[in-house]
Amino acid sequence: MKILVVDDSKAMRMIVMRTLRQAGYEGHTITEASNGAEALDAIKSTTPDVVLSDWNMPEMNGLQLLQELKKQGSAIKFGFVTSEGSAEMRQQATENGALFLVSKPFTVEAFQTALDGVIS
Amino acid sequence: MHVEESTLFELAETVWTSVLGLNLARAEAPPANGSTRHMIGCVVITGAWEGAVTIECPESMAKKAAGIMFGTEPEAASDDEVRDALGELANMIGGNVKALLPSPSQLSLPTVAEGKEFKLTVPGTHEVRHVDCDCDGESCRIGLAAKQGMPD
Repeated sequence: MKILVVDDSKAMRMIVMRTLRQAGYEGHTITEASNGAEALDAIKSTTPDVVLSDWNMPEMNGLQLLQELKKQGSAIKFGFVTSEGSAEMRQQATENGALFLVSKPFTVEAFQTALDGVIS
Repeated sequence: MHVEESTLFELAETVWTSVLGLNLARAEAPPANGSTRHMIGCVVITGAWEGAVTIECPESMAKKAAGIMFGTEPEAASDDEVRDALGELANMIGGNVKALLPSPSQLSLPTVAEGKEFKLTVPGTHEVRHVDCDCDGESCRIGLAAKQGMPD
């Protein structure tokens, strides 16, 4: 599968990619983008199967990215990995079509729980 | 206000343990912001509750965190990587603090300041909580500032 990791922090992108490997999701093609606008370009060029996106980012945030993808009729599997995990934001994520929201800081187990069935 | 000093420490400890794999303990003394270079990571909360969350630490501690997060030796981390690492630590603690405060509110992108003998102030706010911590013999301070009139 092709996985796109979107976060304005390079450090966090590295930690997300490391955690994916630790959670057993190895052998997948992982690409990166540093905000929603970059992610839209990356999605056009690399057609990922799954997007793991931060919420709070410059240029275009994660929710705007998700809404734009839905507007375009995209069926890409989308989930948030964000420091903001309030009930209100989880509801907003779900209402907009996100499959999961993993809050930072996260564990390997949290990734496995969220991604089981999403990444084959 | 639902964020006590103990809560600030627990949130920071969870971030340190989960992200850095390091232990964090309560400390008596604040980080010495004197002749050595210091850094402060800050995120601002606006909306139903307004204020800021900060992490203040010596540059050496921020480099250590960057080394762990980027998988390099601390001294090999670039200035941008060190700022990124400290900003993300502030973002994680700030995001979790925000979840405990009145909503709806928004979290800013992190800001990082660095230098010697400096103080960071978010205009219109005053410090309401802080907790001093120790990590491997180095001190850092997690702070919470609130705008005037916010529940305290």
